[in-house]
Amino acid sequence: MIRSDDGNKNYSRRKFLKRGIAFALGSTSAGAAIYLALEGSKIDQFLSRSSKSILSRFGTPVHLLNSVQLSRTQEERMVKRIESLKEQHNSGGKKFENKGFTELLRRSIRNDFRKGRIVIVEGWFLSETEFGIFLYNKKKKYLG
Amino acid sequence: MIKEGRNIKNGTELEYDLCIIGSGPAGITLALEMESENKRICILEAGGKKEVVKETKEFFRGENVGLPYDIERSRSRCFGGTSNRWAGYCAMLDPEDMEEKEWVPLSGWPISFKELLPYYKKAHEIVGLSTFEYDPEKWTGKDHELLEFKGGLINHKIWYFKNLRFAEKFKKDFEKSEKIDVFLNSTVTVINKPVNSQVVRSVIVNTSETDTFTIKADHFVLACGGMENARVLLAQNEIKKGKFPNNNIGKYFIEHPHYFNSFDMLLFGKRSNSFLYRKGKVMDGDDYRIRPFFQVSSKIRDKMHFPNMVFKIIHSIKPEKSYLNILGMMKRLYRSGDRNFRISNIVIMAEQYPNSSSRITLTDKKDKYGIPFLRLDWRLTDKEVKKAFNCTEFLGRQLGESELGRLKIRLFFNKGKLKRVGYGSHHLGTTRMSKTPEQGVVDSNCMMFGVRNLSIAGSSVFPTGGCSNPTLTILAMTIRLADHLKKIL
Repeated sequence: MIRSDDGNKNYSRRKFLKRGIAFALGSTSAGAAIYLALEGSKIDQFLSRSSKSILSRFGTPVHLLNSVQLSRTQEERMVKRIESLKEQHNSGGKKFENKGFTELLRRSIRNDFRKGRIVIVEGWFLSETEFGIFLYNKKKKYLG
Repeated sequence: MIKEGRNIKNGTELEYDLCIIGSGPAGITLALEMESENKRICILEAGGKKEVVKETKEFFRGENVGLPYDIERSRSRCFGGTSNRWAGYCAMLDPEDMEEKEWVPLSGWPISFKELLPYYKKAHEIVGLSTFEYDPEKWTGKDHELLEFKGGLINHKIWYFKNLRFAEKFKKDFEKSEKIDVFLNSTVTVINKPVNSQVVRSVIVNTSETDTFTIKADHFVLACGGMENARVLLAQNEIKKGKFPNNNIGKYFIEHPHYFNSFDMLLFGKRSNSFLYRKGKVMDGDDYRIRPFFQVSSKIRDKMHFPNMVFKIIHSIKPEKSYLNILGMMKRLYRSGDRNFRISNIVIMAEQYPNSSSRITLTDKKDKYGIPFLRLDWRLTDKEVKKAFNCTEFLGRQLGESELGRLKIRLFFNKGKLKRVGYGSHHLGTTRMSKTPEQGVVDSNCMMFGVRNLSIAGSSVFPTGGCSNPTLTILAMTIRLADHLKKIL
C-alpha cells in the first residue's frame, strides 16, 4: 500500500511498482490487462503523488510570490504548465521514478530560458516553470 | 636625467628635438621608445616624484555637472601619472570595437585591430608580461576549467593582471639616460602657436606663480591624460581665441560605466569553483595572473545592438537569507551538493558610445597658474543603460539554458532603469581620432589636425572605448605613435 511521501516509503512504492510491472510482464496479456484495469487507479494515484512529492519539496516561499506582480491569467498559465508537466509525466509510462519528473522540469526550464519566458523574482532571473512550481504549491496548499 | 624644474633659472630657454608633456604611461613609453633615436628628448611633469594630495586637489579641482564623478581622485599629478593609481588590468580591445557599426554614430577607428596587434605585443613586453595568449582554452587545465555555455553565445575574454607602477619601474632608466631629461614640478601653461600658423614654436613652463622657463622643440606631444589633454588645449583657446580652432576638443567624453555590486551570480556544477574564476591562472610566481571574464558574443551583440560588456566575477559572497528558497530549489533540481555551488559578486564594465553632449569644458575659476579648471558633464543615454540591462538579462538566460547558474540583480537597476552608476576612472575620447577634422581632433597617426608638429598620446584619442581597461591600448597606440615620429623627425 502506498503511504505518505517521505523518503523511506519511496522504496516500498518502487517495490510495489516493480512487482506490478513484473506481474504484468510475466503473465498473459489478458491477465495484465485485468491487473492494470484493477490497479490502474492506484498507479495513477501513485504517479500523481510521486510528482506531487517532488513539487512539494520546493516549498511555497510566500515572500517571493508576493514580490512579483502577475495577472491572474499569467499565474494560471504558469500553474497550468506545471499541471501539464505532471500529466505528461504520469502518462509517460516508463518514467515512473522521481528522476524522470525532475528531468521533465529541467527540460521545461531550459526551454523557458531559451524562449525568454523569465520572471524576475526579488532580482532573480527565474524561468516561468520555476516560478510556476512555487505558485502551484501555493495553490495546492490553499485548496487544502 | 630627472631634474627639478624649480631649479631652472627664471626665463631660461631650452631646446630639444622632442618635448613630451606629461609623464604617465604614454609619456614614459614614448620617451623610452624614442631613446634609441639620436634625439634630445624632454618630459615635462607638472607634479613631483611623489604625489602631494593637497597640490593635486589644488590643480585638479573641477566642477561636475553630469553623472556622479570624482574629478580630483581619478587623476594623479606626479611622475608616473595615473599609473600610480592603476588597478593593473591589461586587456586588448576586441577587433569589433574598432569597426564601424551602423547603429552607433561616429563609431569606427581610422585604424584596424590588425594594424594595432603587433603593438599590443610590444606593450606586453613593456608591462612585463611574458606571455601573449588571449585564447581562453589555452589557460585551462586541472582545476582551471571554463564553464561551457551552450551554443557559443557567451564567450570568455582573457584579462591579464599585473601590479605595476611605471614610475618605480622606469625611474632608474631615466636617471641614467643622457638623452632624456625629465623636469619635475614643471607645468605647461602656454603653447606658443600663432593663430594662423600650423606650427607650435615653444611651450612656456611654470615652476611657480612667478617663475617660468621655455622649451623649444621640433615636435611636441601632449600626453597629460584623458581629461588634461582637452583641458590644456581648451585653455589655450582661452588665452588666444582660435589657437586650436577644432570644435571637437573636449567633446565625446567616454567612460566605462561600471555597475558595481549590481549582480550576484549563482553558479553550480564542479566548474563553478574553478581557480580560473577565483584567483585566476597565477604566472611567474605570482608576478601576474590571468583571468577569464564573461562576454556576450559579438554575433549576438551585433544582432541585438548590445554594447560590449564584460562580466567580472569578483569574489564569493555568503548567501543572504532571502536566497535560501532559490538555492534550495536549484540544489534539488540539479542534485548538486554545497561544494558545487558558488555565489559571487559580479562587476559589469560596459561600453559607452560617443555622445557630443558628454563633454569637458572649462569653468571661470582658475588654478594658481591661471589655467581654468575643467567642468565635466558625463552623460549616459537611457538607451545605453537599457541595452546594458538587456545584455545582462541575456547572460542570465544563457546561464539558465546552459544549466550553469542563475543571475540576481542587486542595487543598480530597478526594472531596467539605472539607479546608480560607477566608473573606472578611464577618461576617453576628448581629443578623438578620426578621418576628418569635422569628426575628431587627431588623424590616424595621432597628429593634431591643422598642426604639423603636435601629436596627442593617451586615451583621449580613442574614438570608442570597447569594454577593456585602456592602459594596454594606450601603450600600444603610443608605441605606434613612436614609430610614426621616428619616420618624420
